[in-house]
Amino acid sequence: MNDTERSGLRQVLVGYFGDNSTEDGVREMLGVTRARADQHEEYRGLLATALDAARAGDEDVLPVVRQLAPFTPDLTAAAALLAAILTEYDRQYAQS
Amino acid sequence: MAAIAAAGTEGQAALAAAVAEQLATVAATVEAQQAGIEDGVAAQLAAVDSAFGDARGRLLAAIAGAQQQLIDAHQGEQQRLAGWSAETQQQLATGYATRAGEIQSSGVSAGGGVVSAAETIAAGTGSEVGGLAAQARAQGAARAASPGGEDADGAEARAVAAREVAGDTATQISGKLGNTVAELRGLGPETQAQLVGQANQIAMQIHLRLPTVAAVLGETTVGAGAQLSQAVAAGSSSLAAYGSELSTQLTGLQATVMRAIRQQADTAKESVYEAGRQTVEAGQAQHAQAAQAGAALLDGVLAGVANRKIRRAAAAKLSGELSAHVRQGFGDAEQQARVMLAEIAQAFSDTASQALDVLQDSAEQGRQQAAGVAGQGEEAAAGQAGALAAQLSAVAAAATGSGDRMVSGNLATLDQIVADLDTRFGQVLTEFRQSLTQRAGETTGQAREPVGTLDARMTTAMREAEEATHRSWLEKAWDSIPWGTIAGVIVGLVVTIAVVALLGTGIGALIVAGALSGALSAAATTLTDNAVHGRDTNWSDLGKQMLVGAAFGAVGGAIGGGVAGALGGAVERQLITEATAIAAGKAVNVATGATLGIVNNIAAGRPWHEGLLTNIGLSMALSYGPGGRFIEGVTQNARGAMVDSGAAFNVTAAETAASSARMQTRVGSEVEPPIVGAQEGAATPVAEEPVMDMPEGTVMYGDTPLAEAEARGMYQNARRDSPHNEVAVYRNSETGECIVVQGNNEYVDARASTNSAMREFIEGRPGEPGRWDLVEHSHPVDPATGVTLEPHRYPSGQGGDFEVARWQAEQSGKPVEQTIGIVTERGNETVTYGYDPADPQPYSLTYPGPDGAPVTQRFRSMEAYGEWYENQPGTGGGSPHIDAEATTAVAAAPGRETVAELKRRAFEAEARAGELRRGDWAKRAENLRETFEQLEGIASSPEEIQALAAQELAELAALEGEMPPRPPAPEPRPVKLTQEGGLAATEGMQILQADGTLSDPTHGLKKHGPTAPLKWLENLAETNPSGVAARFLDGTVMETVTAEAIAAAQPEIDAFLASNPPAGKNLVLARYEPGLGNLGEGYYKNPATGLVEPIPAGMPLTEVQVILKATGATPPDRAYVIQSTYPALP
Repeated sequence: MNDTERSGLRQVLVGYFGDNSTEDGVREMLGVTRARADQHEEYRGLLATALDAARAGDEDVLPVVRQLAPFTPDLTAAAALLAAILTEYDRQYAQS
Repeated sequence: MAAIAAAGTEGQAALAAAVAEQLATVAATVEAQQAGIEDGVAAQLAAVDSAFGDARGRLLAAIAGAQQQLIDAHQGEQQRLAGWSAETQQQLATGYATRAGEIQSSGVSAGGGVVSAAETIAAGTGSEVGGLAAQARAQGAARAASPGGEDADGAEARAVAAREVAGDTATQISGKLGNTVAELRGLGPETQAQLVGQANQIAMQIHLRLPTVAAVLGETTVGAGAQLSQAVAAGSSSLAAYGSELSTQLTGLQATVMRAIRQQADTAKESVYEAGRQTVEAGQAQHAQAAQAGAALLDGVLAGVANRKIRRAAAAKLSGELSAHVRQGFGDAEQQARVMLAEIAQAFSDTASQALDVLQDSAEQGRQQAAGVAGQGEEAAAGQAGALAAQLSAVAAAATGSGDRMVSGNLATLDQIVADLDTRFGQVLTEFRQSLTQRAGETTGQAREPVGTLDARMTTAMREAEEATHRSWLEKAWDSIPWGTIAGVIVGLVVTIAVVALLGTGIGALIVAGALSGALSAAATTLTDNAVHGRDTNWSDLGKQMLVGAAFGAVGGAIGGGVAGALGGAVERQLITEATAIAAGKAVNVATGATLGIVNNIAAGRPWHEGLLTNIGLSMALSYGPGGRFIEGVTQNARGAMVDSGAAFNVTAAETAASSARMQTRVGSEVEPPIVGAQEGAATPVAEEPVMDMPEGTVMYGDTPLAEAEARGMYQNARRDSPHNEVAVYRNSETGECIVVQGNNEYVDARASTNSAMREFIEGRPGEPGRWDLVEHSHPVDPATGVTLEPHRYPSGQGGDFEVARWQAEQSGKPVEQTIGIVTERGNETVTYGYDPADPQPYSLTYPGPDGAPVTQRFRSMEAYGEWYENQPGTGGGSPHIDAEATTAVAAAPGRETVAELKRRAFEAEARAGELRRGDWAKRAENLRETFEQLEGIASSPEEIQALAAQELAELAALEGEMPPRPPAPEPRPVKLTQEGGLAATEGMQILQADGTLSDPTHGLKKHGPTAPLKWLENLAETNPSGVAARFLDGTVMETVTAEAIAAAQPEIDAFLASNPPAGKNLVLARYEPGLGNLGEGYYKNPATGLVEPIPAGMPLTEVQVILKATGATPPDRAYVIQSTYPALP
C-alpha cells in the first residue's frame, strides 16, 4: 500500500470504528457512501486493497490497523479484522 | 523609330496606369474585407454576449426558483409538523385523561363491590351468630331454673354459676359477633378506600407521566423542525453555491468563446491583409515583368527597324505596324494584369466570406454552450430542489411516524394497565368475598363451638360452685390470686432489665424494652391464666394481644424515657431536686405498668380491672423500698456485666470509665495503665479492653452491599473497639453502598494509591461506578482522659476534613455535609461540617457548645476558619490546617518512617517504575510493598520495623537511588475550550447526512468523559474491533487537550473542509500527545488471555484521538462537529 492508501485506510478504520462496534461503524459509513458513489468506491476500495495487501504479506498494513486496534498481533489478525469490516460493509450496503 | 518608341512609351504608361489602378482596387478590397470582418465580429460577439446573458438569467431564475421551491416545501412541512404536533398532543392528552378516568372508575366500581359484599356478609353473619348468643342465654336460664344441688347454698351457687357461664358465653359470642360484624362491615369501606386510593394513585401517576411524554413529543417536533430548517438552510446554501459555480463557469466560457472569436477575426483580417500584400507584390512583379517584356519587344522592334534600310513610306507603314504591334503587346500585358488582379480581388472576397462563416460557427457554438450550461443548471437545480423537498418530507414523516408510534405505544401501555387493573380489581373482589365468607364462617364456627360445649361447661361450673361453698377461706383466697397478672409483671420486669442491660437507658432502649416487655407480659398473663383455669389458648388472639401489648409498651417506654429525660434536665436546671425527680420517675413507671395491665386485660377480653390492684401493688413493691433497690441493683449489675463483656450498645463515657475501673479492680496490677479514667477527675489506672485493634486501613464491607444504617452500626462497633483510632464511613456516590475504613490515631486513609486494602477492595470490583464519598468519621479519644481532646473537636482545615468536603461538593455539584463523632464529658456527640458552593460563606460548622446545645458558624474561607479556630478555648491558638510540607519532611526522615509511609514509598517506586517501563524495577517495588504490608499489625515503632525489615529498607533505598527522579510536574495549563461552549455545546448533535439519514450523535463526553460508566467501557472493549475503550480522568483536561489537538491539526482540517466533504464524512485528526502523562482509564482485551481487563498502570493513555464530522455547511457556519475524542495508547 502506498502512503495515500494507508492514510485513507486510517481515516476509515479510526474514523468509523475507533469507538464503535463493527455494525455501528459500518452504519455510520453508509450515511456518506450510500449517497455518494465516489465515497463508496473510495472507502470500499481502501478496505479491499488493504485486505488484499494484508493477505499478500504487505507489512505496511499492520501499523495502520494497529492505529485502530493496538493489540493486533500480526498480519493474519489484521486481515481477519479487515475482512470482518468489509463483509459487514458489503452486507449493509447491499441492503441499503 | 520615334513612332515606335512613342508607342512603347505610351504602352508602358498605360500598363503602369492599369497596374496602379488594379493595385488600388486590391488595397480598397483588403480594407473593405477587413472592415466587413470587423463588423461581422462585432455582431457575433454581441450575439454571444447576449446569449450568455440569457443563460445567466435562466440560471439565476432556476436557482431562485429551486430555493423558493425549497422554502415552500419547508413551510409546508413545518405547517404539517405543527398541525400534527397539535393534533397528537391533543390525542395524547385525551388518551391519558380517558384512561386515567377509566382507572378511577374501575377503582370506584371495585370499591362499591367490596362495600356491598362486606355489608351482605356482615349482616348474614350477625344474624346467624346473634341467634347463637340468644341460644346460650336460653340454655343458661333453663339450667338456672332447675339447678339441683345438695342444699340451698349449693343450689344457689349452681344457679349463679349456670347463669354466669351462659352469660359469659353469650357475651363472648356477642362480643365476637359485634367485633366480627363490625370488622367485616368495616373491611368494606376500608378495602374500598384502598382500591379507590390505589386507582387514584395510578391515575395520578398516569397524569404525572403525561408531561414527560408530551415533552418528548414536543422535543420530537422541535427536533424535526430544527432538522428541517437545517436541511433547508444547507440545501439553499448548496443551491446558491451551485448557481454561483455555474455562473462562474458561464463567465469563463463566455470569455473563452469571445476571445476565440476575436482571435479568429484578427487572424482572418491578417490573412486578408497578407493576401492583399502578396497581390500587390504580385501585381507589381507582373507589371515589372510586362513592362520588361514590353521594353524587350520595343527594343526588338527598334533593333529590327534599325538594321533595315527602307524607304520612308515603307518606314512609315512599318512604323505604324510596329507601333501597333508594340501597343498590342503592352495592351495584352495590361489586360493580363487587369485579369489577374481582378481574380485576386475576387479571391479576397471569398477569404473574408469564409472567415465570417467560421466566426459565425464559433459564435453559434458559444451560444449553444451557454444555453447548454443554463439548461444543465436548470435541470440540476430542479433536481436538487426536488430531492431536498423529498428529504424534508422524509424528515417530517420520520418524526411524525416516530411520534405516532410513541403515542400509540404509550396509549397501548395505558390500555394494558387499565385492563390489568380491571382484572386485578376483579380478583381482589373475588378474593375479598372469599376471605369474608371464610372469616364469617370461622366466626360462626367459633360462636357455635362454645354453644356446643356450654352444657358441659355449665355442669362443671355448677359442680365447682357447689364444691366451693364447702372450701376453707384459705383455699378461696388462693384461688383468687391473679397469677396471670403476677406472671405478666414479673416477665415484663425481667425483659426490661435484660434490654436495659444490653442497650442502656436511652429513650430508644426504653422504647424497645417497653415493646418487648409489653408483648411478653401480655403473653405471660394470658398463658398463665389459661393454665390456671384450664382454658385452651387461642394463639391468634394471643398474637393480637402481644401486638397490642407491644404497642402500648413502646408508648410506655417512650413516656418513661421522655419523663426521665425531662426530669434529668429539670434537675440539671435545678428546677426540682434529684429526690423529687426519682420519686416522680418511679410514679410514672407504676402508672405505666398499671396502664399496660389494663390494656392487656382489654386486649384479652378480660375485665379491665382484673388484677389491677395486684399489678399496682407489685409495681410499687418493685419500685420503692427494698424491692426497688433490689431491682435497681440487678439492673445496674446486668448493665455493668454487658458493658464489661463488650456486648453492650450505647455505652457512655461514664459507663466505659466505670467498666475500666471494674476491670482494673479485677486484674490488679498485672497490666500497665495506658488509659486514665475520666470520671470524677481522678486518674484511676485501668486495664485496656482486651480487644485487638483492627489493622490500619482495613476496609469493612458486607457480602451484600451495606446500607448506611448497617455501616454506621459497624462504625460504632469499631469506635468502641478501637477508641484511640479514627474510623470512617464512606458511601458510593452511584450505588449508595457503604463501607467502613479503619484509620490510625491521626487519620483514615481510603486512597487506593496508598491503602493496599482499599486498592484490593476496588480492584476486586472492576467496572463498579461511583466515588467513595466520606459520610462520617471519628476523632479518637485521648487515652489519658477518655474523651476527644479539645483541639480535635473540630474538623481539620486545609489538607484535611474541610478540604475533603469541598472536593466532594465540587465533584458532585451539590452541597455536602459530613459528621465527626467525638466523645466529650457528656458522652458521644457529633460535629457537622460542610461545604456549599452556592453560599458566599461556603464552609459551615455545627458543634456542641459548652452546654451541649449545637452552635453553628459559617466561614468565607479556610483562612477565616483558621482564625476562628485559633481563638477557640482549648485549641491553644493552634492551626486546624494540615501542613503538607511538614508532613513530607517528617515522612522523609530516614529510619523513622511508619509502616504506612514505607508502603507509600514502595508504591511510589512501583508507579515510577511503571512510568519508566521498567518491569524489573516495578517487580522489586511490588515485592517490597507486599513485605511492608505484612508488617502491619506486627511492627509499629521504627525500632521494630528496623529489626524486622532492615534488609527491605535498604533495598527500597537502593531502588529509589537507581531510578531517575521524576521530572518536575509541568505547569498547570490554562483551560482551553474546544469551541464556544466547550464540548458540551455540540454533545449529542446529529447531522443530516448526505443520504438524508441522521448521523450517530456526537458522543465525546457521553462515551469518554470522566463520568462515562466503566461498565459500559468494559462492554465496549469487548464488542468494538479496536479492543480498547477508555475515558478521560478529568473533564477540564479532556476539554483542554482536545482543543489543543484540534488547534494542532488546523491545516489538516482546513484541507478537509476545502475538499467540500459530504455531510457525515468523518475526519480523523493526527494523534496528539499533550505531555501530561496518563490521561485516562479504561479496559482492553488482553491478547494473551482474550479477556477484557482494566488497562494497567504500565500502559498509560498518553495521547488524544479526536474525530470530526463534516456538517455539509461552510464557514462561517459550523462546518464540522466534534464527533468523538478519547484518550489513546501511544
